[in-house]
Amino acid sequence: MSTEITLQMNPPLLGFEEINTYTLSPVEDNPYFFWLEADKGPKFLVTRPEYFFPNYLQQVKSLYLSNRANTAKAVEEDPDVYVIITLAEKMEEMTANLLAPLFVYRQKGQAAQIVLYDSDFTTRHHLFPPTKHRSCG
Amino acid sequence: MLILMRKAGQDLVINENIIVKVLEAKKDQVKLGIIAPKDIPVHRQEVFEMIKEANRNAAVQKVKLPKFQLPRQK
Repeated sequence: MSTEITLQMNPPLLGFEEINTYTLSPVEDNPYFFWLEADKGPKFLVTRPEYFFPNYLQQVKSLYLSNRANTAKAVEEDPDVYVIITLAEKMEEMTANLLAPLFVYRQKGQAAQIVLYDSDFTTRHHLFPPTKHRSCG
Repeated sequence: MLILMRKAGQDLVINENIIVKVLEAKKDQVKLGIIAPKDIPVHRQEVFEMIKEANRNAAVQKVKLPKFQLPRQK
């Protein structure tokens, strides 16, 4: 994605019920992160989960999308999946919300935060897990 | 709000396609079973509170990003 796109958040993000319109744009000079930003509202750093959590996308698909496929709404376009990041001063403390990913329907210009169920995901997964220190002894 | 009294073993039906079963009732706890179409999400309410809090914590006011190192490619 090279340019910004406008998205209608439907339903609105939990905690930001009054805000519907966001833009999603790449972070300058950084291929891994994007800004999800409302005109007069909050701004979130988001990423594509495949960069940091290699198996996640597959799990999301089996947890959510397969349920969807059984219903009449099956003809829906496949969403792009993003996750919302909580920033911290130290990189090792940055976390991603894997419990509630963001589904982006690019062609329709729609997005929604989906709550996964029957999963072990939480709202705080480290993007950069602390490195293991080797003991030299 | 509709308030109903139920005993264990007595079910509720919502909209003809959602069944709420009272499986067990103790003093201060009930065990419920919910049968609903797969595309109807059912969650504990705390989950929504958690996500609301996570979203609020994630919202950034300042535009400044910490310096990123690019993640290592595998």
